[in-house]
Amino acid sequence: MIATLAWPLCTLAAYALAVGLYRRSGHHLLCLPVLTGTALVVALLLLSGTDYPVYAQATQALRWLAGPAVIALAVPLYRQAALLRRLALPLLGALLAGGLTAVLATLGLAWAVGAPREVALSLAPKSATMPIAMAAAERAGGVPALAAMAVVATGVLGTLLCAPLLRRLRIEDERVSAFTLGLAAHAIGVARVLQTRPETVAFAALAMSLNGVATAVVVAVVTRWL
Amino acid sequence: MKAASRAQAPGGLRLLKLFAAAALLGALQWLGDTIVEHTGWPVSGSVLGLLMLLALLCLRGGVPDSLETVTAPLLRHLMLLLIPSVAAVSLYVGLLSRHAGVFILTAVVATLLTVGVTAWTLQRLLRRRQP
Repeated sequence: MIATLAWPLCTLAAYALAVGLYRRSGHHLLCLPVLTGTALVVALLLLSGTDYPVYAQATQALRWLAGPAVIALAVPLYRQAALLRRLALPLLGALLAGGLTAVLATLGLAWAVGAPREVALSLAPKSATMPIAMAAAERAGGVPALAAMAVVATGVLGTLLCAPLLRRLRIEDERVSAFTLGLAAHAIGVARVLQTRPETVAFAALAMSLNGVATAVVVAVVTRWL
Repeated sequence: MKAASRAQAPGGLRLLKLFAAAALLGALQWLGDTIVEHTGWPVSGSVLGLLMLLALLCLRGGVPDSLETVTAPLLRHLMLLLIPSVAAVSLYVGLLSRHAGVFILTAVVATLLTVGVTAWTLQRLLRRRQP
């Protein structure tokens, strides 16, 4: 009974601490609130000897709210609709290239190192948002839990690696970096854009939602071929 | 003018509108989940909800203040809402360590490739459009 109140409050406190740290570090990527906040929560779970399912049950409401938060992205998307429509062709081209690369590069690498088929298929949809990736992996015959972990790793690594890689490629356009973060690093990338460059978030939200759908389709088609 | 009339709106009505906006988000989530459940589409209910809300906004031709007020904190604290799901990582340490090699390889290399290809393609296509 206490747990149902305590764990959401602990999560809130961990998040508040994480955001404070993030601000103090000058928005340093390694202080990303999802990373430090999750680390704090996992540490608390370990210290108190609480199993994850107990915590998951207690934080049901918070987890459910992530759904409406994704739906809320329609608002910035709508605001930028005219601009996005004008750039429809370049954006769709980048979506096609990026979405295919994410799935095919993962499958190719997994195949090259001789990973079992079910592992390869679990990792394939890892650039999509978690619910989409888990559903796609399950339908393709993979392990949803492994897909969820790959999604987290990709979101965090994509967000960490995006800025240095784009600097090296000499790409400075904020719209390009927002779209890339949304496509490659789903909700974690979008959250990063919201915190650093909120005016370009429509590009990130568009990339995340389009790539969610594209990944599901590509994985379904590729599985039929394999 | 518009701001003045908004300030005069009675508090009760405003609260009702906020409640309606929150209920709309909840309803869209439920509708999206229901559609996914019945059709078996490999998309999540919230992405369907996003597309439906976008369609509604296009039909209405503007974002109502109440919806703006409800969605702003959700968007600002998206990372908070992700923490409980990401913490599930602690469950799968065993599964992860068995496939650690391919996991790390694809997480780093495929992600770098995805970021590079997406950004490069978009930059190229945008530049061709606006020389």
